Amino acid sequence: MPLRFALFFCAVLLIVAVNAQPGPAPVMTLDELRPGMKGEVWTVFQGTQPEPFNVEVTGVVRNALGPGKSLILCQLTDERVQKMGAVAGMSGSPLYIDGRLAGALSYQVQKFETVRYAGFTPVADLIEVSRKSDQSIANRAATTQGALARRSNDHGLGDALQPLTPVFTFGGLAPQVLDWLSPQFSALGMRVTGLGGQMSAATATLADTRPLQPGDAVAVAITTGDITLAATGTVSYVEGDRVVAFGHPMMSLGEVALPMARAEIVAILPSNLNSLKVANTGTLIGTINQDRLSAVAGELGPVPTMMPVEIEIVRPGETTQTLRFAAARHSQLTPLVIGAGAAQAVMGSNEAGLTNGVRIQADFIFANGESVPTFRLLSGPQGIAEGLNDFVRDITAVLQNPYESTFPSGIKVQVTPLTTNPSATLESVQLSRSVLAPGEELEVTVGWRDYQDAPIQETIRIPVSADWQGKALEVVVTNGVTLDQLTGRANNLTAAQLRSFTALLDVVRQYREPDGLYIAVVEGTRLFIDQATSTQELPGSFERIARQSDEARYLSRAALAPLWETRRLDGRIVTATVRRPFRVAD
Amino acid sequence: MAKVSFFAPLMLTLATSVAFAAPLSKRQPVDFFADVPSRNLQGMAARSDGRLVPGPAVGATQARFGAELLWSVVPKGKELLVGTGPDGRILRINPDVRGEYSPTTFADLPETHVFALALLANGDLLAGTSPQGTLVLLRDGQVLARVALPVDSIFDLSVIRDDAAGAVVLAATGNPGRIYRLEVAAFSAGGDGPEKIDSVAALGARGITLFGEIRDRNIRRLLPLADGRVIAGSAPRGNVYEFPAAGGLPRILSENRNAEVTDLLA
Repeated sequence: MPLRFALFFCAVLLIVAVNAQPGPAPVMTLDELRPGMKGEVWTVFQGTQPEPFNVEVTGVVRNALGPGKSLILCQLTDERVQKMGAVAGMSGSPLYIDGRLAGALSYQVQKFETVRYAGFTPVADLIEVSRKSDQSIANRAATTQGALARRSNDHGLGDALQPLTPVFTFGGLAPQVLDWLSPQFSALGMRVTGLGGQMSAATATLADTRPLQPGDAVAVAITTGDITLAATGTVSYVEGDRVVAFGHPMMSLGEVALPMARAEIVAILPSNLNSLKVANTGTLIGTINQDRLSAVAGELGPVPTMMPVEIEIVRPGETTQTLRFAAARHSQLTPLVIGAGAAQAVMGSNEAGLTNGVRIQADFIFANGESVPTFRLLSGPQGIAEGLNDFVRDITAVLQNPYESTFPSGIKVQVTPLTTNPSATLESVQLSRSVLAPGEELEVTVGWRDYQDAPIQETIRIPVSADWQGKALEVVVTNGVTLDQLTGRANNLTAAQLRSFTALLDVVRQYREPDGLYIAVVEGTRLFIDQATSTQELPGSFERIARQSDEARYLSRAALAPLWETRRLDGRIVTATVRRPFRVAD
Repeated sequence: MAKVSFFAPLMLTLATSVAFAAPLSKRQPVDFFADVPSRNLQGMAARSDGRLVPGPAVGATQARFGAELLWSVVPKGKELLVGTGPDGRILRINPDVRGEYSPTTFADLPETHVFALALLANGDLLAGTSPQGTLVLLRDGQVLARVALPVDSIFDLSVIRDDAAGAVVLAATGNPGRIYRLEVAAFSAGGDGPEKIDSVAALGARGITLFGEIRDRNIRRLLPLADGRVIAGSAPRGNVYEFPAAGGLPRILSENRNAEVTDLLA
């Protein structure tokens, strides 16, 4: 009996030994690789525990990804992976040969292949990225402003060779929101699905009890909270608190500061075109500070500062619902995820109808206490789709300012679904007289019609100022955006025109409300524009001296100067513009 | 027939008067090589008897002043105080015997462009700025008093009295074209209030009253005359106005179009 027990115990030990993952393994260089070598790739098929599958080295494709950037080609010989091949989400899975780390699974070689192959990033390239990560930690100069570039698949082997794109999985978004988002993320070279979720508290707690190891699933979190967005891949190796993963770029951002999170694999969805792992995201465990050609790398421990986003869905007479999530601070991704939150608030609930429209108001709160409000009124389904794009563009304009590395400390968005369509039609504008004297009143009668409603008229009385004596003036009836353009507040500024982030905020704050109808008395003039301020008819000598000094900053432009203005039809969208001339007698 | 006989002499009179009217200006070609003893004329001046003579030559300095735009200058002892833009600084410049300059910052105002400066007898400095139309009183570079007039720019400051009874300064403004009269003692007592003041009463409490106003957009230059009258040049029309000593409605001395009066000389 003791002998049988001992034999059983030895057998168990043998199995454990066979399946034991190599610990801190020595590396195997490209020159040591030979065709026919057997290897093991460790990855998570389900849950959080890595498991091995077998591969056989076919050869090394020299300079496959560029000079000095080769690829190890292996046949996936293991029975377990025959129906799935290389899976999106396996990227970064470490390849061990004779107990030595040779590379990380990273590329799908062929679609609809009949024999399963995969490309592996050599271990030397992984180490190179790890060294960059070390430098970044030393410098502590990580930024979140890496530029997104549309990823190219042309690596010299044609369209077939593709990095196993990390699947960006959204959680907390309705399918129609994803439909709206997908093209926007595609434009940034990102593939998003809606199969993202969060690890249960029990699983997360369990996962947190053991150290991160090669083969573990790991996620780069873009948002956490009610709305989650994360890219899931696999850890290639861990050295102390340094982590290298993915084996290929996430978005080619270069130096970044994005949160690193644990991940749990729910399932692998096999496909002849592109298999993928479905994952839940867990607790934040560190910072990804490098997003390079050969891998992503980072540090366990400190988590980068996230930006809190709060989206309130306000329905009169009902309880206000609030979506709360934290977003990574990135000038291109953050606007999109905030847009996703707003879209979810608009499209993703049973109550919010798309028939009439919505009102979206966003407040950017900066660390110095400054706040920049933006506001949009969107009408009907088409208007909402276009308006959400404009809303994202507004946010991008603030976050991608070329003047200062700054980021809001928080963003609050208020979404109010409308019970009626906000479109209104301007039908008539009549002036009581065409010549007036100072002290008299000009009556402007404006006729409009709310959407599918009866016509309405209102007479606005404008006192004629003594300052207008002898002037040929106009009454302009239009929306705020058009009046801004007519009065020289152009919304298409060149970067060189402004010289500071404060000036940009001043310009944004000066814009009139985009909704409603403005009735303004204006005078034709020339404006001397210096950043956010304009001066009427500055003497020519001053203007010429300033413009000769700096032609980009100091502008001279023919425009209308508002002498008097009022606003009506709050909450309506009016697209027409009417101009009526009148004169004030001497 | 009767109409022809009436209009014929009138037309003839008009034509004759136009033909014999002498132009106010004369064109006189001058050959500087032949007519000027130095044969190397770099400047020209008009003598009191109306003759043209060689004048001082003006050239640009090679010095760096640390400001993009130099708008205004007043001498203070051996130094110059220079109003600049776009950082709203007033520089103190000390030209030495070799003609070199060593600019230092005398005052750094939150305003953008310092278009006008006036030095008072007690050494205090008045500055007029744009585009907020702010009037600032400085002593040793520190702000004593400040007010934002209901205008965009202050183009000229002219001290019309500065004696034991106190200093009085006229400020020429742009958009709208006005002249404000400033009792410096009352203004100084009001302290620093950078907010825009529109009301006549509030301005009056700060020692500021409206002296006169024109229809052109800007009063560009002031020239107080010995008898108290004030001449003002405007832009963008380029008119010249005469204001009575007590202020009020101006008389147009010269009417123009699309011009700018950059200076006035009595």
